[in-house]
This record gives sequence, C-alpha cells and structure tokens, in this order.
Amino acid sequence: MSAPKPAKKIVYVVQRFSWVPAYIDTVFTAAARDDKQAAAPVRAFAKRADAEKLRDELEAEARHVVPPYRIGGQNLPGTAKKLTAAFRKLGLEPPADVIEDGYVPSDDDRLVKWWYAVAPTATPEQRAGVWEILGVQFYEVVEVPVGD
Amino acid sequence: MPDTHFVLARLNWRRTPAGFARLPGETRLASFDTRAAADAEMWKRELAAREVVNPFAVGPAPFEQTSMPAPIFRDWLLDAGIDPPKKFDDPAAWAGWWAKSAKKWSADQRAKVWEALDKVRFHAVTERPKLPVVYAVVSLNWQYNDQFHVCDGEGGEVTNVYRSREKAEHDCESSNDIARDIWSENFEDFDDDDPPEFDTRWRQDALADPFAKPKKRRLFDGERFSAVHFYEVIEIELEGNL
Repeated sequence: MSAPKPAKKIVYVVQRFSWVPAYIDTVFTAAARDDKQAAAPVRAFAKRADAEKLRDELEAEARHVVPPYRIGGQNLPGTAKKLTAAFRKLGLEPPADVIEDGYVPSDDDRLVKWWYAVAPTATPEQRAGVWEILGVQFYEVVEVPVGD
Repeated sequence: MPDTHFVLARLNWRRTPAGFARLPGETRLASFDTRAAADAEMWKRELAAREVVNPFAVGPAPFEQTSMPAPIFRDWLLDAGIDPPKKFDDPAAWAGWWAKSAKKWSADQRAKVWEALDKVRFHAVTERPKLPVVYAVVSLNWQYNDQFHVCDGEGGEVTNVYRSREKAEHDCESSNDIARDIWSENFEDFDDDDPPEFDTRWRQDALADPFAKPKKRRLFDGERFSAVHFYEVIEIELEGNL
C-alpha cells in the first residue's frame, strides 16, 4: 500500500477587483469575462483569518476614498421598497429613479448628480452605508494552490 | 538589520477624459531603508502629479478634497489671498474655478491650497514589515468586443502561486504556449482568412503612470495571438509560514 500523497498546500490571496472605464467619464464598471470579474492579487497569506482581516481593512478604506457614484453597471440588490427604506434609514433621500430601474447606470450621470446633492452633508458613516446598499465589493479572498 | 522598511506606493488614480478618478488600491513603486529617503522621492512624484491634476474635478467639492469644514476652508483660501468661487455652495463649480484661477496664483498660493486638500493625495509612504515574496501566475482577462480582443484593466485570474520565480515563469511560459496552440488550432478549424486580433493598448494604459505625459497612442495594429501574453507573473508579499 503506497503512502498517501501529501495534501497540496494552498495560500489565501487577497485580491482587488478590476474596473474599466464605462460610457461616461466619471464611472467605471467591472472588468469581467464570462461573468467572472478580473482581480489583481494584492498579498498572500498562510492563514485565512489573516487574509480576511486585510480584506476587511482594505474594503473599508476603499469605501472611504471612492465616491459612491464611481462604480456603475451592476444590478441593485433588493426590491425598490427595501432599497428606499435602506436609504431613508441612513438618513438620506433615496435616488428614486435609479432605484426604480433596479440598476446603477453606467451610461448616464443620475447617481453622480444624486451624490453631488447629498455629499455636502453626508457623514462618513452614511457614505459607508451607501456602499453597503449598492452591494459593490472591492476586495475578496481566494484560495490558490502553491505550485511545487 | 531592521525588520521594517518604508514603502512608496502610487495610489490607484486613473486618467479619464473628465480628469482623474481614484479607485481602490495602489501600485508599489520602491522601498527605502529610511523614511526621509522615501518621503523625498514621494514629494518629488507628488509635486509632479499636482502639475497635471485639477483637484476639484475628482469629485464633489470641497468635500472630496478637504477634511476642513467649508467655512474653515473658505477662511484658509482668503488668508492665502485667494477668492473662493462665487458659487461656493455648488459642488460642481469648483473645478471650473480652479481651471480658470489657479494659473493666476503664485506657486506659494497653489501650495497653500494643496496643503489643505488632504483627501487628494497621489502617493503614500508607509512603514511595513519586510516580508518574503511569492509569485502569482495570472490568466489575463481577454474579451471579444465584436471586432477584436481586448484586455483592459489590471489582473485577471490567479491560477497558481510559487515560492520560486523560476518555477512561476516556467508555468507562465508553458501556459502561454498552450493558449497560443489552442488559438492556432481554433483558427485553422474556422478556415478564416482573418485571424483574430488582440489590442494590447488598453492594458498598457491601465498599468501606466497616469500622471506622466500621455504618449501618443499608437494606431491599432492588432497583435496576432502568437505574440500575445495570455498569462503573466505578478510578485506579491507573503505573510505567514507555508
């Protein structure tokens, strides 16, 4: 009976999703192929928990520095009723026409105009909350095999 | 020997027809043994970037640009001998104001304004532990746009990670050869006189320094798949023991 092969080693790679210019100047959309978004590797970890910690830190930083209208072309998660309630719970007037479409535009500036109107009084917490409602993710952790 | 160093990174700004837009992430440029050396290089690059960027065109102003409350920022400008825009409360008015006015100010006045714009930074220096590196083999994101194949944006899909650069490059080269063979076989199967073409300019643009003077874009002369990279090696740090 032959000895069992050693389990292949894996690393946990934090990677940053890739974005490409959309139809209007201020917006970017996902760089995707076959519904899979391209991503650039940022750092590798031996332990998943450490990778997830960095991912969460980078995600929070991204939401802090990128204005919420920057990413478009994705469906909005949830019903119009739930989305409207979520914005109101944040203390923000919802972008009603965008919610009605159920889709963040990548070829017009409706969300850009909406953010320009709310930005003067939006707090950092409200900004983070808008990103949460839009359902955009900037970083992820993937398992990758270590080659011999 | 210290177990930390000072890493200079360029923040992930992209040049757009409207100006510049910041996305998450950064590109590591160099590491230094001292903060002073890192800061010196950082400031050289930062000042060069400021020459080409309208800071008020990157988002609603002045909230995306400064942490100062608006009245404080107004006073800051006035103290520097600068009249704020007439439409002070219009977030979209500032970009035009800068475009029209900044060129009339002295260098000291422009520096004074930039000093207040703490949210518009193009580079960063951070002290980080010195870590070993590994080499990720990445499958690039080529897509067909009804005319030719385009690979825009950074990254792709990580297939393997190696501790040896040599092994990573061997995997990369083998994977590129296989991909080109598949393209070659598919092309022959279709008996097509027009081979598929690949536009590499978009990826080059995404990875280039956005603050450098844009090079005149070369005319598209599609690369044939025999010359195209479908995989590449990206070096990244490793935390923890494998």
